[in-house]
Amino acid sequence: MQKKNKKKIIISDATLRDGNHAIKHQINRAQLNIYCKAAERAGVDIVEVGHGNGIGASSIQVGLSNLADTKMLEICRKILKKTKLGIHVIPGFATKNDIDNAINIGVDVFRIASHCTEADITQKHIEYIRKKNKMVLGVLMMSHMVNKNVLYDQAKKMKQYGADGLVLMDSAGAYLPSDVKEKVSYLSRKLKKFPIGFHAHNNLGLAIANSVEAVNSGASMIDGCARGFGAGAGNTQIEVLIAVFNKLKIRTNVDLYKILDCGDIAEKFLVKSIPSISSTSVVSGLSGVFSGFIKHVIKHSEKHKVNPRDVFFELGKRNAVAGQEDLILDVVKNLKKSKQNFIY
Amino acid sequence: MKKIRVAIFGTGNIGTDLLVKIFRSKYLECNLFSGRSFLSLGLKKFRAEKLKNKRKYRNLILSDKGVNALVKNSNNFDLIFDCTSAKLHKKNFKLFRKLKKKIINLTPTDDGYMCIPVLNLEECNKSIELNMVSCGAQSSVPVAFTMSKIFKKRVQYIETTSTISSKSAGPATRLNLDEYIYSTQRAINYFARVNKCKAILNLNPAFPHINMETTTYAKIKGKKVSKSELNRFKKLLKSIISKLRKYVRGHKIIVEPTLIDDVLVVKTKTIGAGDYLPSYAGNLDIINCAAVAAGEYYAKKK
Repeated sequence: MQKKNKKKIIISDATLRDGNHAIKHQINRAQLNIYCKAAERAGVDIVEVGHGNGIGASSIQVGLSNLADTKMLEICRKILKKTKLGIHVIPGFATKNDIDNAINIGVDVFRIASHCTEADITQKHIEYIRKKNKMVLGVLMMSHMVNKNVLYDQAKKMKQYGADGLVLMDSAGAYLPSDVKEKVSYLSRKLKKFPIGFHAHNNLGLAIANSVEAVNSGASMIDGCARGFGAGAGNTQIEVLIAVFNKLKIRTNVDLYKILDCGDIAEKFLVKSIPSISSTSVVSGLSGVFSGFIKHVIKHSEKHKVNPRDVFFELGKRNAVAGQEDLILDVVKNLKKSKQNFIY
Repeated sequence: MKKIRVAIFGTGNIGTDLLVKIFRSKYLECNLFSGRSFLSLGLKKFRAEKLKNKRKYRNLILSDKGVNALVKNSNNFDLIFDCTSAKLHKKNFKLFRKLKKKIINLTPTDDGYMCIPVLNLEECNKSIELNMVSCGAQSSVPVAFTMSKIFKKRVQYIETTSTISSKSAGPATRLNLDEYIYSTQRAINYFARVNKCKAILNLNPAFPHINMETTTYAKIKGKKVSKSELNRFKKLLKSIISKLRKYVRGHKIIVEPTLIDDVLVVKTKTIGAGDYLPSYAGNLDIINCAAVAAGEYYAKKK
């Protein structure tokens, strides 16, 4: 079924957005500068920039940014020429004011995201950006939680609002390649000419395999991060992705050597510790909990001396969605209480 | 005591739940329930109820003529609960003024005196129009107010996140997330007297449906919060929440005030009374209970 050589796959680089999760949203001016230059040189199609949960998300709840959204975007805007500047927008965190700021700065691509069942909260924002004639993609986060029919209904809504395409996010790193095949091929078949993207996390070591599967199933946009620099166990490692795509003769605009440079630059200047699949990340993926939770889970678990694995499974049981970081403290405190009850 | 006669404008989730509550009230009597269509669930439900129990509902006029029904029947009520949308409220409020009725505004607009019953019922009662802000404000503002009462100018920043069940968020709520955020922030600014604040709203589709939960954070600068200060905070918060529980019975603290570095955290949960929507819709319950409390206070003082 593979349609090789047909159309170039659009590569969206989330290093400066998802990677921000890995350093508690502390990315600085110099890092933005150096990485944007490298990504532009490599021919990446879109560079996504901002707080880990997108614009307007700097908060105690998720983590306070080092730089204001507008600052980050201005810095990158000055550098990016051919490469498009993109942002992640979650209604409920971000408002029209944030979108207006981004439009004024000159953001090119708006990715309007909701939990995988809540597409209708993106209606106003997608329609607004459509009217402003900017590229707008609908994003369904935590998409492992529902089946292909639900995803299709939600995607249809985003299409109706005026989105130019849809990105499925495996925000928890919980997909298996068979899940990708089932969902992506169903959506691309049903939605015909509507471009589909896929955003993977590596909790179960499957980010590259899932991204390849997505392309083989009809996806035309793939997200990646240099050195996999992203929330939790990290994302699809973009330089490996390009290498694998080259081997499979899947075409992109990205230059292999220069994207390898991006990886080295990220390692040298951005990454504190290279994302690896820690035991806790594995459990995070298994329990289907948002990857961005891991730093908060570890912090609260250490303080209250509970097992972070138990915390993840409990969060999974409670169906936590992205943005519900405040639930972690509640779960940790309850686990601690029940542990004490057990001892006495 | 003679009851105050009211009209409910808007027959969606909010309006319908409010009507069920008002039929229990000792101080309020609903004479007009007006929406846009008899196909709306609220009007459908009460049309059927009225057929079943003619005596109980003998004074209740049901109408699908929207605002025209308010004009036509304006001699039948003294107080309007506006449960429509921000857009409709903006369109109609001049007309409400002309009718010379007291208004309790449940739409996410800036109009009217912001009312959080546990904090300012007396103060806002004189105002011709009250604004019930948002469900998130009704649950977070009492906590934010307590924070600023104890830590005063040391409160640098307040933030609140509410998570509600997807099922309880109707189409109007979903379209008005920005308005929800702006109005909740405005209320925190006003009541807690902080310049910097942020409101966040999450929808969670989990089944069984989750209850409304609200976490409120304050960043406190200056000297470290002492144990005695924290105790004073706990004590005042407890007394305010117990007053709040007089009109929202399902509201409680689920994570006791906790200090994480310089951030004070409190988490509350609201279980609804299950009047129209089931008990998971605490978000609906808290704003409607607040609106009824404001209406009853007005009735008692009149």
